Amino acid sequence: MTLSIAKKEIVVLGEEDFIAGFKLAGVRKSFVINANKPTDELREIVSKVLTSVYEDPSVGVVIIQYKLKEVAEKVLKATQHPLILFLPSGREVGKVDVKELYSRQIKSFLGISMEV
Amino acid sequence: MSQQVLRLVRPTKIEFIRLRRRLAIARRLYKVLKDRLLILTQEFIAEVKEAYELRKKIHELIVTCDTERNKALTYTTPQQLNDFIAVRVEGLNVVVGTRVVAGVRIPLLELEVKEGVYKTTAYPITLEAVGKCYDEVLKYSLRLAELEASIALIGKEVQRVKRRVNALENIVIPRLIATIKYLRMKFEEREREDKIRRKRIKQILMRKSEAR
Repeated sequence: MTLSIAKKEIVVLGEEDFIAGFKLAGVRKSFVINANKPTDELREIVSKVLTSVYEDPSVGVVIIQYKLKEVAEKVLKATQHPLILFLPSGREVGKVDVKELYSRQIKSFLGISMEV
Repeated sequence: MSQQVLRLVRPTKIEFIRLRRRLAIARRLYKVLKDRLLILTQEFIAEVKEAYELRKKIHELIVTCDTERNKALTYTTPQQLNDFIAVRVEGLNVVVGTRVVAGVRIPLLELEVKEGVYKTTAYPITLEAVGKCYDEVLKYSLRLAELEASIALIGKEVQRVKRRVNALENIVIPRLIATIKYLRMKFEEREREDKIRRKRIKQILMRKSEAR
């Protein structure tokens, strides 16, 4: 069993408003993406950014704005590194159904409907 | 289908013993896998519950931080904010490691922050409060990233183990039992045939000796 411990960076992807908070917390690497662009254009941009992120071995965690989830999921690779997390901005919070999010995961992995 | 008999090279006693050994191993493996499935499922549900609570907390925090930031921005110029961002934190890294839960290697993250040195009087106090609020968001976000990755990994393992348990329960073990039963019946039949044959021979021999 090999134990690998490495120091990595955090990358944030999203609109300027979303990134600003994480910058205050000390995140240095970020990519500003205008989520209001047409889907095809947005997919291309997100794909380019994520490709560069995947190629960068210094990246450990990628925080992506929830608004980009649909587009990002289509270009995400099924790898464990870096870890991907989708978070909403302050204005989007109400649109995310947290209960539904995890109930869906339970259903897909365990094959049973269960409320969290 | 599950009652199918395994294809045997020769229906011999050796094969019979071998099959009984295989059945014992399959039953032991089934028990181990079922226990593992239980542990994994419990771990999976516990992690989902924790992730659910944490995400709710993060969402509430994000709203609070955004409101605080908007308030703070009324007292701060964009230049001041950019300066504050540049000096507040000197270095931020995440230490990525792994831990093993029920045989599944899951990620482990730890935030490493090197705080910057700056004059606190140079910036509005509200900005510092906003910074601290986002520190919390980031700290919890890393734990959430860790949990969500664990959920996916443990979930996949649950599916894998479940497939194996089902295969053992519905295919392998019933087939072995059916084959053992088939062999036992075959041996019994052979024994009966032998018995009858011996009887026949005995009768023939007796008849011959009587004739002499």
